[in-house]
Amino acid sequence: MLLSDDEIVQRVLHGDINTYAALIDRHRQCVFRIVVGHVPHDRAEEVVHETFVNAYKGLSSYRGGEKFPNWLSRIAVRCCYDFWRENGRNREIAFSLPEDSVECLERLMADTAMTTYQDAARSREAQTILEWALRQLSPEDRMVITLTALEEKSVAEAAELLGWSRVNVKVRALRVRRKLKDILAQAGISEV
Amino acid sequence: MSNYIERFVIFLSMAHKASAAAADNRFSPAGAVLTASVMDEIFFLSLEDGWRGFTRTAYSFSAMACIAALALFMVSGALGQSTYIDRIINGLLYDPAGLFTLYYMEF
Repeated sequence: MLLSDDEIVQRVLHGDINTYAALIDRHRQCVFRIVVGHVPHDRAEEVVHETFVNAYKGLSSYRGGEKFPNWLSRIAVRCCYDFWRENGRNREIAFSLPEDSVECLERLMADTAMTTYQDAARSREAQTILEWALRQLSPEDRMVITLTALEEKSVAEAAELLGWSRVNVKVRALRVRRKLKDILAQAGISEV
Repeated sequence: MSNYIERFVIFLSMAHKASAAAADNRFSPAGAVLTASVMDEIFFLSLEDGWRGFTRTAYSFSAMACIAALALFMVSGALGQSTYIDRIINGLLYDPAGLFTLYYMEF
């Protein structure tokens, strides 16, 4: 018989820790999808691991009325935030944008056709530009822009995932867009 | 906000989605490894919890024993039965061997 998430949580809390493996198997893909959107791919497994360990440690705080994946998503997002707080200080290793990526970006900014964007988004240069832009931001700004602009979550959803107030998320989201303007200017790109 | 910033954000969003979709396929084979590594860590955490639990229980037990001794001391003193307590304290302070003798002879 397939146990529900809440039943598994109850069993784990009563000492049957081996059943926790079922929760990991059931939700690891979902957690990975969240994590991979926030941290470098080669560090994603490490953060997913951390998420499940932290979830285990905080299992007693899980309220049965809430959906387990929602609760787990919050932990995953906060683990990503912690990852950038620990690793984001190495911004001195933030790289400058390679010449070919700068050219790609200049072309894109001059072109307003969505189809061009869609084709370019799958290119290697696009990944470099994305990584370069996000590395210029603080961990807080990075989380906010990723959740609100890149993953298109609402302010309320982002606020809940991060455990921040809605006003904080809104203000940061606005500031990040201003910072992006400076970031583009650094690369020598201004409004055409 | 300038229009080109909005376009830049849209482009970043598309690149982000493409990146996440590409990464999605990479993870499945590592699933069993992940489960095993998390379960290993949880096992060690539960051992730590066990030791902490044991320490907490022992600490609580000794605290309860102290409280019980104090209560006994106060009750026996109030009832005028402090002789035993006096003898126990004197024995403990000056003659531990006498204390054990007292224990075996009188209790």
